[in-house]
Amino acid sequence: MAADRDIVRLCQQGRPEGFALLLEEYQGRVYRRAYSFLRHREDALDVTQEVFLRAARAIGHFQSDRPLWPWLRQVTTRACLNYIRDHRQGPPTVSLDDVQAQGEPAAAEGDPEQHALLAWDRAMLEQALASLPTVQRMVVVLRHQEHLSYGEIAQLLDLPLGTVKTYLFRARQALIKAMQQGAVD
Amino acid sequence: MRCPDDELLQMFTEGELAPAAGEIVKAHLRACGRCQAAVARYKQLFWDLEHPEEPPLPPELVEQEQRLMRAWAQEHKASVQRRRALRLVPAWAGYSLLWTRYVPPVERLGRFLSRTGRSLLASRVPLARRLLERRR
Repeated sequence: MAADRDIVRLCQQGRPEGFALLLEEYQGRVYRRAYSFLRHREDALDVTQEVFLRAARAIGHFQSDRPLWPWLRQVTTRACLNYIRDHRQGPPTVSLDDVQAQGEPAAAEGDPEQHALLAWDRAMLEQALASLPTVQRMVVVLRHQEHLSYGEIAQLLDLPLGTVKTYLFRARQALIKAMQQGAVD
Repeated sequence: MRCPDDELLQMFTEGELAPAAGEIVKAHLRACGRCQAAVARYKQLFWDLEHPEEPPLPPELVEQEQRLMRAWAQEHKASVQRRRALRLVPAWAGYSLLWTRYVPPVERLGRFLSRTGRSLLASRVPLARRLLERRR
């Protein structure tokens, strides 16, 4: 596994093996992150290409002592937000009323003992994630897969901190509710 | 004690509550099966979210890699050309200021830029060096 420092140095020296190493190390990771945000194979491929085209332009000025992934993650996140704006849903805002309607607390329903252990499976979780509004899904992924703090997520998505918390809480409520319904069906 | 709201339970589950608030929730959980169940659900959800099934990598990525390598080569070539062109800027700026030779401060600036540009050009481009030496 090539070190980030070597990749950056080779790229800045204009050596093609540097960019080949960058792709080898990060192309799959960028694709998977884009896919987890967008849940659409072709869109994720487009975003991956866009991310590395930007990287090709910018890596010449990149500081070689910084890790590459936080930068690529930021470029990927921004590229996904732009992609949503340009291609799919208009501005990445979500009606809080809609979310509230789906996101009633799971604990408020039925017998608590009955729901103590849930029999949901991966497929149900994937389906529930796919049904979330894109920006909420991005917040969930950044929190639980990238382990970013609320503040870091707010900065990355250019959203107020309170909005990030609201999206996160409501998304998780909606996931629980969707999976409980799936388990009952 | 009233049951904590769902946001509080989520924050408790991911360890984001202040210690004092965490203790209050913990004490409540000892007596409330319903909130215990909610916390158990969130624990399971968070674990599942943190251990996702990775989607398979599509075969198109190989083709894309080749396209990106070509794009990188073009970008690199263009950036080298841009850097070369930038090195010529002082020379151009100097020559373009020749008309100002009768305005003393500007004339001095022109001469300075021209000298800098010529020496920079001569240091980088062998043909320019030979031409300048021949002129001298």
